[in-house]
Amino acid sequence: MKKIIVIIVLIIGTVQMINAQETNEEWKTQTHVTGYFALNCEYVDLPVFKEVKGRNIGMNIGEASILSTIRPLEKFKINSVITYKPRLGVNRIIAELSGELNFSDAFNLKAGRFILPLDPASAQYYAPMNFGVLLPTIVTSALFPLNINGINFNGKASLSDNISLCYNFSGGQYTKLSRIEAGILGFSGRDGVYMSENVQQVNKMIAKIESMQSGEYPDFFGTATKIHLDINDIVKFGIASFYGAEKASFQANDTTFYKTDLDFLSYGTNLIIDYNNLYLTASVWFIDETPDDTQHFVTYNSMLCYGEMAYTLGKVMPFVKYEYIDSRKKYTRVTAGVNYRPFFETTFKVEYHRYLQDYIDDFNVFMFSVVYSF
Amino acid sequence: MKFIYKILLVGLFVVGSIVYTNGQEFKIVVNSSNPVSSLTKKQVSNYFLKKTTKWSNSTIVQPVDLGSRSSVRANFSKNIHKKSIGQVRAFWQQSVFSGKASPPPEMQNDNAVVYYVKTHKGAIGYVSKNANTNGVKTITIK
Repeated sequence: MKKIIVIIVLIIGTVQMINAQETNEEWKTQTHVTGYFALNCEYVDLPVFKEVKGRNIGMNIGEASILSTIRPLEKFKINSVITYKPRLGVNRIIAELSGELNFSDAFNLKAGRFILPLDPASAQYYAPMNFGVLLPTIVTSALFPLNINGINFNGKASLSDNISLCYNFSGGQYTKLSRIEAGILGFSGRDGVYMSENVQQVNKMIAKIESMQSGEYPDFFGTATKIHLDINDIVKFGIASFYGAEKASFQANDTTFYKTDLDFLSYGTNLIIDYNNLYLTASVWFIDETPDDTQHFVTYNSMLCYGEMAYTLGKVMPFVKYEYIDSRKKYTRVTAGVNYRPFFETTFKVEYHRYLQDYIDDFNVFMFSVVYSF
Repeated sequence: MKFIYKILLVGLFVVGSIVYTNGQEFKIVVNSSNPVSSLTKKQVSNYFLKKTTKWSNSTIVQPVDLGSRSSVRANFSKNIHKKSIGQVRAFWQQSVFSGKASPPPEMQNDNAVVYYVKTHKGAIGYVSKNANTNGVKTITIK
């Protein structure tokens, strides 16, 4: 009964606030639409990958997105992002669809589907936000779900003239997207799987991953928290965590099917320095996956380090990235590339990746992309 | 000798043109109820990029832009933001995709900007140097 009263009071308060705002000043609905599409080219210089997939070079539309923001009231907006990416399921085409009430700088309430902003690299899911072509491992390695269907509270409080404390709490239902194929060739997101000289072993691993992904437990409930300090819009330092109450299952053979409850916890810290033409970001994340059934399922403790530095020289932006992954496999990926945006509508990206690991010889990946924006 | 004069004249014209196009071809306007009378370029830039969201009297800042093909906007962007229109549009594209903020509404001409500023208490806009700004307040850049 108390919960119902609280909900009714909240609804009445919201309606009152909107009404008050409507009568205070004339407001005309504001609509903004933007989007892009990208033609990507990938070359993966890895014989095992070529043998399993039958090709190691590809060119195709890598992604396309339309974002629209409608603000029918001064303090209320509806945000939607429709995104196409190869191999993206129908349910994931709607990347974001949410309504947000802006009560004040200190308190905003959002409900719907939205990107979890737990790490600066999360936003790189969209091509204009990513200096390079390849998605950062932070996005593809399922440290936390890319988006969630639920509610979000966020805001910021000024601690002094130059320092603000920002918070972001989310909770809702999400889809587990661990080791999903990404990119034109389907190499990204599963790169660790192909680090083997044994084709049979790689195929067996892919079959097991796909068995787990097609299991009967696709959606779970989770909560996410992020708090960060913003110093003069130049330095941002934050901590974040995600907890999900998950279930896992896989089919061992024709007659044996295992399933278990699983506690998924990830937590990390990140730093951004954005000063003049220099942009630098660094993150460290940890994952603890603890299944109830430890006999048939493995307890994983993973770590991921991510560093990125870019420098703007007019229309040209050279960048370097460093990623260290210590999970089911341990490897390092270093990236160097150039982003050139001669005018708003067109961006060219070229990048080179070097994978450093102990399982096979180190190998290279090359990527090129043209992004058209409107 | 005449040839040298011609060269000098052409040179002066080119230099003059450059100086002229880099000069301020716009004026900043706010709602007449706004107590502000002058701002620094940095303050104006922060209001238009929504880095500062409230005026000193706590009214919400409502910037308004001219269309992306406007030469006045190009001059304003270069003078105030130190960026081209393309760079500013890229900034807004990144802001909307990261969920931070949406760009200001774009008006077709000076009259529409003046009307918007006149009818919105927290509005700030810019119009061409010779535009009729009756009913709004023109502020100076420090």
